[in-house]
Amino acid sequence: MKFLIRTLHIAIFASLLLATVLAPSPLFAQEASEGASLVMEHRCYACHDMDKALIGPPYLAIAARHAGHKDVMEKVLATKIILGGGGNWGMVPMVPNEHVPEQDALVIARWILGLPPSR
Amino acid sequence: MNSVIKNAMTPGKASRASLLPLILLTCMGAQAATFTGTVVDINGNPVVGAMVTLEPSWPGPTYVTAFSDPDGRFSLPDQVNYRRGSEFQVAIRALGYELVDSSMEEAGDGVSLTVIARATDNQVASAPASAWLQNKANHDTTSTFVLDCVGCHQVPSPEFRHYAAAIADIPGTDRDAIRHASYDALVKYMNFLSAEEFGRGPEAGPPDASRVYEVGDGPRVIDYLSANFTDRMDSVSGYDWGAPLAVTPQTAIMEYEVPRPNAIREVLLLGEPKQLWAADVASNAIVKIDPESGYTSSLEVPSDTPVGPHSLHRGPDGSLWVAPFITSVVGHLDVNDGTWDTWRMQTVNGTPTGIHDLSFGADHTLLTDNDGLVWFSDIVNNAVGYLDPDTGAIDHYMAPPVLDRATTGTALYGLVMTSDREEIWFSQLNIGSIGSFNVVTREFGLSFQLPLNSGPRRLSISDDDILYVPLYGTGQLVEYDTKTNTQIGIYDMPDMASAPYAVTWDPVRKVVWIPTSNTDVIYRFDPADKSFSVLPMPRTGAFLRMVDIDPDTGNLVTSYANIVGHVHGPRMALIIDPGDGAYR
Repeated sequence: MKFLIRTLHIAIFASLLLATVLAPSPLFAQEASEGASLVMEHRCYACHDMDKALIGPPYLAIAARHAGHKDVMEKVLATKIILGGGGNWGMVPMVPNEHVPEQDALVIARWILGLPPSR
Repeated sequence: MNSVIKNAMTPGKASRASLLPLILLTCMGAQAATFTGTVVDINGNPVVGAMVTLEPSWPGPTYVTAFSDPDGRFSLPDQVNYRRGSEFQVAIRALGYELVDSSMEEAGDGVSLTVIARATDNQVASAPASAWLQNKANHDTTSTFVLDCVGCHQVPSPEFRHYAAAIADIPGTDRDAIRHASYDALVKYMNFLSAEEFGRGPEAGPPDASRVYEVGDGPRVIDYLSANFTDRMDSVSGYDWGAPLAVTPQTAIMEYEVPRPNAIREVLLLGEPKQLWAADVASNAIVKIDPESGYTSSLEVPSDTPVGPHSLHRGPDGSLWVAPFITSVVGHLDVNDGTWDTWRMQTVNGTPTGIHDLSFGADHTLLTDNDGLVWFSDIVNNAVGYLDPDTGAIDHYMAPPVLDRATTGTALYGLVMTSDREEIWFSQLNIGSIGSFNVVTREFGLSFQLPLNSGPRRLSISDDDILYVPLYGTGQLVEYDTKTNTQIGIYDMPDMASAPYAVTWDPVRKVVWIPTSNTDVIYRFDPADKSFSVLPMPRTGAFLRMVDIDPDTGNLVTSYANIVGHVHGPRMALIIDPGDGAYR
């Protein structure tokens, strides 16, 4: 069992190394630009800006707040994009965006969480 | 034979899909079938006046709906080309009922359905948006609110109600402050979407948030929302249509889904064979739908500037006249040979013309004056004007001031022509005024005023030159005799928060049809006894605008015309057979 885990670690490390060598990987880059264009398509900019608070918090502030637990927040953020609600950033809940498909919400969530800590 | 619940009813799912619960049945066999059935409650008692909707998986209408009679029986129309061996789904809409189960049995040439519904006190899944606006004590502020918001979308929509629930979940003791701050954010958000939808050309980027979040009417809308929508808004009860149903066992509603994205507005049934022609204000195109197959195609309006087809009029020769939204291009299409004519107009001082309606008469067909001029309402310039289709000549006449009311932003809107073709009547939506203009002397004539929040929109005129005016804000109908210049009456709609958008005189039935934007129904008004009856649509979010009457069959032709790209209600063209045999 231990051997298997070690092997997996090596495999994961190797793939990470590979990703670094090839960075930015076309897949990651594609997803990042897809996230940015989905933010436009679903008009997130009506309430959110990159580094300014509008009706809702800036993307960079969301990314910074959740930097330590991106894995959990990806699904949570995607769910929040669709259902709205909250009060996480004051007393105003986010509007529901029930027209946004789940896979789009996931790409947007990954895009937000992947934003650099400072620009 | 099998029966599987395909889409069980959960609040989240139902609102996202905007669908009623569906039950999937498989019909075995090969040849065409007829569909009949019964709607019963859980005790076996008939459910009366339920809409039963079939969603076939074969070519034709996307949905077909019939109504259950006093015995709970219904039969779907024969003309729909049902195919055996194909799947279909069944949904119902009946106020205070939800679908439990359905089953089918083959009987002779046909299929017999049994639909079981359960009575529920909570009408959240079956009631229209206006069910939440029934407080008569605040009718005056509700009327203003309807003009402020329902002009573009139903209120409260499912998304809005879910937002109210999210507000209720915010912790804190000062509920008023939480509500006010939350609705303030919502109104800013909607103002942004509205500015983006109406305030820019297709090439421009998003509007400047700091400039468009605050608009003049914002504070009163926030106050209204904060005062009236205070709970989770997940239940509503006691709503009824407010008038007897205008349906028979032969009534049939055929709905055609229009490929998205679209912002379809008005629809006409024209050509040989008859096709549905739908104006798409967002795409600069006319969508053509074959009622037999449901097949859709798109025709671009030939113009070097975006037209944004909005209002459609049937020409006396069965051709299609297209009036634009805000822009100044009028189009004419020979629907049989596909030939277009377009005219581009500017005002004398260079301000673009904002054509809204072209002149039409009692049969809802384009009507020129005795010199062959087409008259129009100019929503941008508070003017009426004419187009000479032969020479392309145009001219404008600015409307005079009305009492102490605004002289700009009046929204000179609906327009009709009297039977002698010498006078036009128009409404001014934003200042509650109705006026007349003599096209021979070129002088403005009599006008009459209604409350500022009445919201007169698309007019109609009868064979006897009786004017009918829907009041979108106050939820009323005005009946006015243009020959004697007397007001016959103002009548309250069965639901005064229904937002009646238009009226259409029916020259054969001698009644008025009134499509509503916030109640999912078309009202039928009978001038003989001043009574209303109601023709409900089978789905929520049915943002109805104009109704036309096919002169050959007497079928009503209309659309679910959700306007803003962000509003996710149904977008469909409809053919409705009232089932009264009046045109046979």
